[in-house]
Amino acid sequence: MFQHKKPSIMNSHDRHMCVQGDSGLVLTTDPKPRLRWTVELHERFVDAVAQLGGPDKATPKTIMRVMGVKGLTLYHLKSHLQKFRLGKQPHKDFNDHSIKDASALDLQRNTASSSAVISRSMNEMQMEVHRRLQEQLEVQRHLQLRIEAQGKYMQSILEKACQTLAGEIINAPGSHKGMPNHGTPDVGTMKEFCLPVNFPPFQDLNIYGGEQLDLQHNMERPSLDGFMANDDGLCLGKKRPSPYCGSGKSPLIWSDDQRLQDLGPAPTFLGPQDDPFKVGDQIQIAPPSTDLNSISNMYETKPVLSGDTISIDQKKFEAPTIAKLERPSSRTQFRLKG
Amino acid sequence: MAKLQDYILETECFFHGEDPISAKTIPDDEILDNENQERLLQIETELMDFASISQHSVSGSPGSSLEKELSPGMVKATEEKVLNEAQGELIEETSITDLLMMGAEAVEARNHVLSSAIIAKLNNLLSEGENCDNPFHRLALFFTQGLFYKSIDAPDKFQEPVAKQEDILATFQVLQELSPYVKFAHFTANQAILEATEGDAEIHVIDFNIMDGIQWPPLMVDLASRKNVVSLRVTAIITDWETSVNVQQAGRRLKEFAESIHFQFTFDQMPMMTDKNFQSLEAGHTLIANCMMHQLHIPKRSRLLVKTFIDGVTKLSPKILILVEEELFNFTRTPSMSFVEFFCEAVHHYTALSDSLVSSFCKNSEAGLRQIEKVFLGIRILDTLSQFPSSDEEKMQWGKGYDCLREFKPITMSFCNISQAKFLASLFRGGYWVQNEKWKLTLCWKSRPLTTVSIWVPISTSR
Repeated sequence: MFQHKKPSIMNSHDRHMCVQGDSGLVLTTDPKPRLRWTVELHERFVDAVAQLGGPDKATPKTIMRVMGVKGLTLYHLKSHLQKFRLGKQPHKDFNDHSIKDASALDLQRNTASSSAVISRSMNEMQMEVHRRLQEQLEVQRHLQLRIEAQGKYMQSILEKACQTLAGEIINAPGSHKGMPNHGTPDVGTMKEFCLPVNFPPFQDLNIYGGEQLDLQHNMERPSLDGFMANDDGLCLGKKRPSPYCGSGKSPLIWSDDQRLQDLGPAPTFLGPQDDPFKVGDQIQIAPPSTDLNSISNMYETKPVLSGDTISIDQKKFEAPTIAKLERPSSRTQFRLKG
Repeated sequence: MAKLQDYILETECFFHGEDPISAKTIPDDEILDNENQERLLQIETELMDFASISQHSVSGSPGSSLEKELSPGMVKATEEKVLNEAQGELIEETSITDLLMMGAEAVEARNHVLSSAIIAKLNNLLSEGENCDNPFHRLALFFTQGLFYKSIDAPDKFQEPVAKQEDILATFQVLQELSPYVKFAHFTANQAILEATEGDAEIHVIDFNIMDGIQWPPLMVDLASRKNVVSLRVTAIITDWETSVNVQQAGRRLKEFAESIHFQFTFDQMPMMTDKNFQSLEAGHTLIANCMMHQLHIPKRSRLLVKTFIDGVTKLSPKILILVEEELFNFTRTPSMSFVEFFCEAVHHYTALSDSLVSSFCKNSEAGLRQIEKVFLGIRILDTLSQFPSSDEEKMQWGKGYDCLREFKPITMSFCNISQAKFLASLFRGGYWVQNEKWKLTLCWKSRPLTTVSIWVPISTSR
C-alpha cells in the first residue's frame, strides 16, 4: 500500500527489496531479514503512538493493535519503539546517560533520519526539483512564444512599410509638391513610411536622401569611391554626416553593390531645408528618381531580422544568426534546444 | 531664428573639426590668462606624450598649433605603432576619459575658459577620421557635445535631430533583436501583468511610452491562450503632436495583429497635459499602468510628465504599476550627486551599454551598431546630460526620487519572472546577467546594472 506512491524511489534505492504482496511490508532480502522502516510505515507508527498517548505510554502490543499491519511482529515494534523513545528525548537522556545514550542517540538518529527523514526530505527535494524544472520548461516555452509574437508583429510593421515605400516610390515622380517640406497634411503618410530592415538598402538609399539637420548642404555625392571606401571619417568628423554614412562593405548587404550604384547620384529633390528646426521637415523620403526596379530588387531580400530567425543553439545567441542574414532565402526556425 | 541658425552653424563647424580655429572662434592664446594657459600647456604636453605612442596618428591639417606640435610625434608613432598598439589605445582612452572628467569639472565650476579649451581639445582628438573605428571615441564625442551644450547653458536650444521614421524603426528592430534590453523590459512587465490579472476578463492598460507597441502582441498571445475569454484595451498616452502620429500608427498595427489572432482588443489614445486628463478614463475594471522610460529608443520625457502620469494613474487605483528605468537615473542611491559625479556615472553607464551592444552584435554587424549610435545613443547621451538639474531646487527634486510613488509599494518578482529574465539574458551572447534584489529586477552587463524593472501596487488595496 505504501509502495504505490513512490515506486521509483524504492527501485532506485534498494535493489535488495522485495515486496511482500500480502502484508505489504517491505523486507530486505539480505541474509538476515530485517524490516525496513519506510516513511509511511514510520508515520503510521508515529500516529499510533500519538493515539496511545505518547511513546512512554504506548506498548508494542498496543501499537501493533492500533497500527493493524500484518506481518509486523512485537519484536519489530519493541526495538523501534525503544529507538523512538530515545530519539524523542535526546536532551534528557543525554544529560543523564551521556556516553551510553550517545550511541543510542546516534542509532536513533541514524535509523530515524536515514529511514524516514532523509527519504522524506529527498522525496521533497526531488519533487521540488522536478517542479522547478517543469516551471523552467514552461517559462522557456512561453518565452519562445512571446519572442515569436514580437517577431511576427515587427515583421508585419516592416512589411507594411515596404508596401508604403513601394507605393510612394511609384507615386513619387508626379508628386513633388506633395512632399511635406512644409505641409503637415502628408505627414501622416510620411510617418507610415518605414523602410524595411534591409540595412543596406535604406542605408544607401538615404545617402542620396537629404540630411536632417545638415546645415552644410554639401551632401556627400555617393560616388563609387564614397560608397565602397568605408570612409567613416565622414561619419563624425569633417562634415555633418549623412546619418547613414554606412559602409558599402556592410555585411548586411545582400543585394549586390552594383545595383545600388545603379541608382546613381540622386540629389535630394526636397531641396535645402528652409528651417531645419521645424520638426515636420525632418521627414523625408529617398529621392524617387531612383530606379524602381533596383529598389524592388532590394526588397526581395526578405527582412531577416525577425523573430523567426532567432535560432537558439545551446542557449547562446550567436554569430550564426548574423551569418544567416547573408543567405536571405533561408529562414531558420525558432527552435529551442535543451 | 536666423541668429540661432548662425549659432548652431558655428557649433556644427566647431564639432566637425574642419577648422577649429576659425574666424569665429577666438584663438586660445588670447583668451587664456596665465594660469589657465599653463594648465592648457600641461594638457597639451600630456597629449603629445600620448600621441607619440598612439596608433592613431593625428593627420596633419593646417591651422592648428596643437597639431603642428604633434607632427614630430607622428613619425615616432608609425615606428612604434605595432608594439604599442594596445597600450596606446588604452592610454589614449584614459586620456580622453581624463579630459572628459576635467571638462565636466570645468563645466560645473562654470569655468568657461577652461571648459571650452578642453572641449576644443577633445573635439580635435575625437574628430580625426581614424578614431571613428573606436566605439568609445564615438561615444566620447557625444559626451563632448553634451558638455558643450551644458557649458553654454543651452540645453533647450539643442534640438533633437529627428531621424527618419523608417530609420528609427529599422534601428529599433536591430536593437530589440540583438540585445536583450527591450525584451527584458517587455517580457518582465508582461509576466507581471499576467500574474496580476489571473482570472480577470477585461484588462485595461495605460501605456506611457507605447512607441511602436511591440510590447503588446506577446501579451495578447498569452491572454488569448487563457481558458476564460479575455479582452485587452490599451490606452496610449500622447505627450506631443509628434508622438500622436506614431501612436495612431501603432494602434492600427496592434489592432491588425489582434485581428489576426482573433483576440478582442481595443485601442485608444489620450493626450496628457495634467493629471486631470485621467478623469476621463473610467475606473473600476482591472487597470494596469505601464511606464517605460529612459531606454535607448525612448525619447526624453521630462520628470514632470512622468510625475503627471503617475499622479494620474494613482487616482484610478491600478492593480499594478510597472516601472522600467535605467539605473543611471536611480537617484535614490545618491541623492546629492554633483554634475561631475553624474557625468562620470553617465560615462560608465553608456560605455557599458555600448560595450554590451558591441559584444552581442558580432563583428560583422558593425553597421547596425553605428546605426544605433547615430539614431539613438547620441541623442540619449545629450538628453541625459541636459536633463541634469541646474538649480538646487531641481536637484532636491531629483534626490527625492519619484515622490509620486509614495502611494505605492513594491512587490517581489515571481519565480517565473525571474527565471524568464535569467533565461532571456543567457540567450544573448555576452556578459548579460540578471540581478534580483529585493523588489527590483535588473539587467546587468558585466558589473554594471543597466535596466531595472519594478512592480508597484497601491498601498491602500493590499493584496
